[in-house]
Formats: sequence, structure tokens, C-alpha cells
Amino acid sequence: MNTKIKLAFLFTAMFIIALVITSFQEKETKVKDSEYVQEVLAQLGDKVPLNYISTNKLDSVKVKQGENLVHFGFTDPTNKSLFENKQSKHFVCTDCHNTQKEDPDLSISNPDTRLTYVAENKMKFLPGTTLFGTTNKSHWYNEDYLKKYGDLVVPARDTLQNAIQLCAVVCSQGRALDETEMEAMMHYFTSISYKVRDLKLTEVEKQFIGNALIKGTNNTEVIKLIKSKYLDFSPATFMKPQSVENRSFGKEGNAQKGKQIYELSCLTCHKEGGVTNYKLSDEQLAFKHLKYWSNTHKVFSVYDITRKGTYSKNGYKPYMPNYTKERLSDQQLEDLMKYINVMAEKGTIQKITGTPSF
Amino acid sequence: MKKLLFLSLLVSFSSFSQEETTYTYNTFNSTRIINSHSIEMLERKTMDMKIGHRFGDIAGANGGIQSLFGIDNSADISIGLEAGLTNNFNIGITRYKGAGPYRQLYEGYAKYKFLAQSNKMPITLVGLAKYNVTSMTASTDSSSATSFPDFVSRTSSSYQLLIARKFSERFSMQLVPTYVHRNYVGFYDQNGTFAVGAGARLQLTKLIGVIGEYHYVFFEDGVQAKLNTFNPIALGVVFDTGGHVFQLNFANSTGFGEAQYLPSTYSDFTKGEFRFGFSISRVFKL
Repeated sequence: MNTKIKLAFLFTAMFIIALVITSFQEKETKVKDSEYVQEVLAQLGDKVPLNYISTNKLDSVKVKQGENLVHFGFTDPTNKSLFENKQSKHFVCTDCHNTQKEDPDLSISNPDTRLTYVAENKMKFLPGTTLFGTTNKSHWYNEDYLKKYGDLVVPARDTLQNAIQLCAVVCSQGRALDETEMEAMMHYFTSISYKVRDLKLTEVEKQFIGNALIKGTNNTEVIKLIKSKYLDFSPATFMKPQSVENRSFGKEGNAQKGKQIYELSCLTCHKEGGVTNYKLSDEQLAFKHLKYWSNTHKVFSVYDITRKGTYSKNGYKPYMPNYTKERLSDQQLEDLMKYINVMAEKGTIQKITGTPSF
Repeated sequence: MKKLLFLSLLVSFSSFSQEETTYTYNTFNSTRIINSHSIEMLERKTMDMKIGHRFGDIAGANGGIQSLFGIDNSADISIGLEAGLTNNFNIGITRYKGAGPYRQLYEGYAKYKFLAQSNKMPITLVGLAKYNVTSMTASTDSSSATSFPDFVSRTSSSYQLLIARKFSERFSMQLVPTYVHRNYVGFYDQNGTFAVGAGARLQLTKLIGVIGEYHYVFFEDGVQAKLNTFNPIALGVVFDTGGHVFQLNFANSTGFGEAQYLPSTYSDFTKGEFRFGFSISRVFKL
């Protein structure tokens, strides 16, 4: 009896010790999923960017203010007097940008995988790159945006603060942010920067990074590894509208995907109460109009308007941004046209009573 | 079994009550049908500039080719500014040239939306109150309707309930009971007048719609014959280009406001005494 108890005690003690040791090792060597990527890089000795705010020093009040600014255009939605000083009376940031992760793999900018991902996660499919992880990038207004905004993009390309001001004044046709607003914005953006779990890291790679964090070896390699897991700028290639001969006018397309684009992209701005005067809905009349214009009109057809966008005019400031190759593919445009064609013929009745069979 | 039935009923009810409310939009294209207001409201922080024009009679004694079917004459001109204080409360002021006995009118109105059509509510209900003041010089003839002994006699008011339903994406209809009170009227005329009107829109394409309205005015016995008035009727085409709304119409009434076109329409539509008119509306964001 006595020996049995002794044995049991011994085994449990050994088991507990083993458990403690293994968990200790796990904790020590693997990099934590909840760790901010910018902190990991800073610890590894990577040069911190100009807009760096340590996540330990994030001010929750400022983060909230920044979040309100992005979603509503002013820092405190409960304070009515601030409404008069709204950043832009036409747009808010979220009209063109998501604030969550929108690509399953951050190292690739692909509109097809993105559409599936945002539809699954109940986000929108928007022309602007997500603000999630914008502080992890080192360049903004990239590549072809030079064609649209000219020299204005030069100071905005390497400094996030300048990029935000360019967006505030030119893109959203509003006023520049003041100092406190800019600080709130930077705190918010830092709070939604990449964490280790957002990168597609294998367990071995996590171990590798964790080891480097403790021992301080292979730092340059580890930094390179981490940076290969996400794009440090969002590529932007402007496209010419497809030539008329190459358009299938919806003959070759996937209507289900087209429906996703229509609802997650078009209706963001063109719904009732949206930023534009050209209102769309699920009504057959709207689809018929889109179809008619796409077949006849040279400027406002779906093919042209998505690639070219419109420009701000005196008397009517809000304008439509153009979709780059990375934000909407030519095949997706055909999917959209297919959906428009189907709905123009079938109309609303099918839609109310059940999903139309495509 | 009974319990099961009750349970399933409860579940179906609770699922019904949790259903998301989806509101109906775009019942009419602008805040007017033709003469009368529609149930459409201006959103908060938007402003609407409205210009309306009525030409002279197309046919009849004053029409025909001599006046290029009425284009040479102007029956009434209106220019107004309206604003949305909230999404459900609008105010506006309008200046009318005036037609009928009273001229040079200023009108102020307040409009409130009580109910909005949605998947849970079959109709939209809007209340509208208007107040008019005429700034014309008082007539020296004390028997005239425009001799105005005091300020109150220069004023009139009208109250409307607008009940509308969008039946389908192409067809909307509205019922309009109206009460007009004019504080100072001519000898045979009556101060208070009831009317019931109906307006409808048939949307042909996304941009073009056909609109029409008719009001039946309840006069006391013999008053209508003595005054020789008619019930106002109007037909038109509306172009909604997004931002601008253009409206071309034909109406037998000459005036714009309720206090004018309901009790003081002297033209007979069947005799060709109707006129061409247009209105332009431009919405601004504040």
C-alpha cells in the first residue's frame, strides 16, 4: 500500500515537472501570436520607421478617437458640436478602405482571393487598400498613383503622415487633420497593425524567430524572413478599359461572384444615403440602366467608369476612384456584367422569393 | 402536440420580430409630385433649390400660335429654398409671383415624417403645414378680396396629410387630404376649404417617369358655379438625372401653393385651358 502511494506520488511529480519544463520551453522559444510585428522587428534591431509608436505606449483614448475619425470623420460621435467640423462632408475613410485584414496571404495582392476572403468575413470590397497594417508598410500612393495625382504624391510616398493628409485634402475633398487628430490617427493605425498571427508563419519559422529574439542570433536573416511574409507597399497598376472587341458584355462570367462585387463594392457608395447621387439598388430598373449604358455609352459604361473613375468638379466635389488591376480584375468585371445582365432580365421578383438560379 | 404547435408558432413569431427593417426608398423622385408635396424628404444637412415656372394657356382665348402656345406669358413663377433639419423634419421658404386673387406671396412650410414604409409598415405618412403672406398693395375697393383691412387678412394656411405607398419599383401612389384656410376672401367665396387629392408615379426607366395628380375640392353648394372654378388636374414627365430633377408638366391650375391652386383654379382642362410648366430642383450638401 505504502509503496503504491509512493509510486503514484513519484509519477505525478514527474509528470508535473515534465509539463512545466515543456511549457516553459514552448513559451520561451516560439514567438507569440499576439505579438505586434513592429515590436518583434524593433527588438531584432530593425530600423524603426518615422511613424513608429511603441505598442506599450498606445493611449486607449487616442486609439478610440482615431477609430471614430476613420469611421465617422470626427473624433467623438457623442459630441454634436464636433459634427460641424467633420473632416470631409463627402467621404469617410471607410468609404474606400477596410480596417481589417482583407487578404488571406499578406505577401500577395490578388483581387480574386481577396473577394472570397472579404465575402466570408463580411467586409467590403473596396478600391483602397485596407488601413489594417498600413503602419507596417513603408511606401504609400505607389506606382501609378503618380499618374493621377502628379507631384502631390512625392512627399506622401515615404511618410505616412503626408499620405494621410493627401488623402484628407485631395481624395476625400475635405480639410487637413490637425495635430491632435493626426496623433489619434497614428495611435489607431498602430493598434491595427500586423500581429504575428496575421503572417503565414510555419511553426518552425515561429521557433526560428523566437530563438532569435532570445539569443540575438541570425537577426538580419530573421528580419528578412518576417518582411518576406507581407508586402511593404501596396502595388497599384492603372489599367485602360478593356477594348470593345475584348468585352464579352457578361457572356463569360460568374454571376455569383458578380453579385458579391455588386453588393460589397458598388452598393457601398451607390446605395440610398450613400455618397453619390447616382443611386443603385436591387431594383430591375437599376440593372436595366446599367446594362443599357454598358452596351451603348462610352464614358459611363461599367467597363470605362471602373477603370477611369471620375474627377472632382466645382459644384460637385465627391468623385469615383478608379479601380486598379490589384483591386479589381478584368475577369471580375465580366462577372459583374454577367450579374447585371441576369438581374436586368430576371428582376426583383425572383430576388425576393429566393435566390435566382444562375 | 399542442405544445409543439405553440412552440413553433412562438419561434416563427420571434424570428419575424427579429427580422431586419428595410426601408423603401425613392417612392417619388423629388419632394413634389407636381403641385402638391410628395412624401419624399430631404436628408439632414441637405438643401434643395427649387425653381418653378408656369406659362400661359396653350389653347383657348389666350393661347394658340399668337402667344406660341402660352410661352410668351407667365402664369406663375416660384423660387424656393428648402432644408433638411433632420431626416424626418424639413422646412422651406418660397416666393411666388402668385396667380388668382392674391399675388406676391411668401410661403413658409414645415414637414414631418411620422411613418416610413418598410417591410413592417405598409405606408409612409407625412404631415405638412404651410403659412402664406401676401405682400401685394391693398385694393382701395373695400368689397375686393384684396382690400386687406389688417395683417391677418393677408395670410392663409394649409394643412395636409400625405399618405403614400410604393406598390412596386415602377408604381407609387399617394393620397392627399388637404384643408386650406384663407383669412380674407371675396363675397361668394368660403374661408375654409377641404380637398382630397391623389397623385401617382409610373417609372418607365431609371431616369424617366410619368406623374399625374388630381384634387377634388369640396365647395359648399353653389359656390363653385358662382366662382366658376375647376378641380386642379396635372400631368407630367419627370427626369431624374441624379442630383438634378427636371419636371415638365401640363396643368390647368395657374398657381403653385395649396392656398392658390385648390380654391382658385379658373381654367377648364377640357377647353384647352391648360399650360406648360417646368420645375428644376437641385440638391446641395451642406
